[in-house]
Amino acid sequence: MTGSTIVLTIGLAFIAGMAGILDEWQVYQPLVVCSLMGLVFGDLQTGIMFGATLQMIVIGWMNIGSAVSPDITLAAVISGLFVAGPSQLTIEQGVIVALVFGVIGQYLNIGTRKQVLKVVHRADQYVAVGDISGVGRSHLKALSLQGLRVAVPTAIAMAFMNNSTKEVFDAIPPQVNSGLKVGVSLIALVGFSIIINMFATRHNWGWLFLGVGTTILLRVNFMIMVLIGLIFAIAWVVISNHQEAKESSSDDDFDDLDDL
Amino acid sequence: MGYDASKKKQISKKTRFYVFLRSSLEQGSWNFERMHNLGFTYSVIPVIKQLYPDHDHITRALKRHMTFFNTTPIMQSFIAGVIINLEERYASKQITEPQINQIKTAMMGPLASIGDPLWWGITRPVIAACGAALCYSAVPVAGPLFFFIAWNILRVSFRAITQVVGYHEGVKVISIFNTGFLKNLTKGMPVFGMFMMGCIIATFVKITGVVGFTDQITGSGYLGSVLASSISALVALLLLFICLRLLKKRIRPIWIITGILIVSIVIEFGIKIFVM
Repeated sequence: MTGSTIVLTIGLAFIAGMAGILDEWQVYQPLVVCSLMGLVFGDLQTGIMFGATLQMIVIGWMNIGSAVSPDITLAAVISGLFVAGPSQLTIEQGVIVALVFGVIGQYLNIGTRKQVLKVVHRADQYVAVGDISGVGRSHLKALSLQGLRVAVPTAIAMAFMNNSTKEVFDAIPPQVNSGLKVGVSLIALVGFSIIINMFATRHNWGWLFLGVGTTILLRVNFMIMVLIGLIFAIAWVVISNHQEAKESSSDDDFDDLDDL
Repeated sequence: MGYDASKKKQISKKTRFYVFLRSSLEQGSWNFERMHNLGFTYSVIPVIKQLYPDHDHITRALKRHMTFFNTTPIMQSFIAGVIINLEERYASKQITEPQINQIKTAMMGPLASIGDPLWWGITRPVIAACGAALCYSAVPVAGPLFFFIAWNILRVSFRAITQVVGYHEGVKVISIFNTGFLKNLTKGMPVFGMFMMGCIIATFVKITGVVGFTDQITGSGYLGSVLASSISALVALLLLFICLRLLKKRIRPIWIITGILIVSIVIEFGIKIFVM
């Protein structure tokens, strides 16, 4: 590794760490950060293919309210580094690395969020004296702590990363590896089920089966499926509103009869 | 000090643009105590600077925005727009101070209950799935580019538009919560979400062994591939229901993932030994 790749990798990790807490630009999502990692190491293709695989696995990992999910950022940065970087792990091996660092990252994330509380309390002191620029600085300081949360572990991983990393993974028996291959294609379902949990009611499972069925039968580009989905959803809203209006108007009729 | 409260104060376009720029850093100081409080304060600092020249008013403004704040980050611009309007009116002595935080608190809950499913449950998964699908096309680099660009165009324009609407409408935006538009949105979102998750399952979960197995019986024509995908999808749906059951029992997703990996390895090991 040259000096510039080291600087670029740690810089990318720092930016991803900030993006991870902001949840605005989505640079930290595997699709983006693993591709960039590939770009840093001159292996864009590998980065993109690994990013796509990992993206579908973490697609349902979201932080809602005060719950902190396994950390996508550290998982994507470190596993991207191991797959696109000099260790050249396979995609399945990379996913295992990502899962391990997702859990480690979750604890680092909770720890950092507690550290940030101290910065916020310092900001309270600036508020008390009306130091407006102190308040602004505190916010940016907290943000950079979140960048370090990913940059520091990445730097440590780079320091320990050498040719033996690949050897350790290649020592795994081939049966385990082919089992992993099947497993990796299945674990995305866990993330999907988190999202489905958000929307599922007793009555709307038909839409899920309809989605599965139309996709299998039509075999068209995924973006066309998005359009079809939008059309279905809008049509359903229009139809059910129409029906409700009908029902309420027929209710009115009954009321009229009662009046009579 | 040149602070004349009787004169109507107005926030300049430039200041509102600065608020918009800062809004993309809103969650930077996320904390377990008051969540986005410092982040919200950070984003409205340009407003405070323009409205209040004296130390006393600045301190009070900072204090009132440092209270608990939490909503879906992208929905925050809507609230920020309304707050700019309210701060303006407070500085012109048209409303009282507590009203500012009352409106803020009243908006954040309902906006989060729409914003979380809309952005995290639908928009991001669907755009990410489109991006991931593009990665397997002839131009793989289109995948990450599409995801990044499409998401940020939607996010940035949503933030910009809602901040402007919030600013111009002020307190009147509360009436938006009662219009048919939101009712239709909450009605349509689960339908679209469930349908898209069905498409995502059928597109991305390929049970490799099954596909090879059916190819031998059916050949690789249209019907053959439909049959192969159907069997694959049935296995996937079965596994999905097991996952949902386990999630309902409050088992952490990471343990379900570990379980699936171990079972796959054990089965594969068993098959290999059996065949040999």
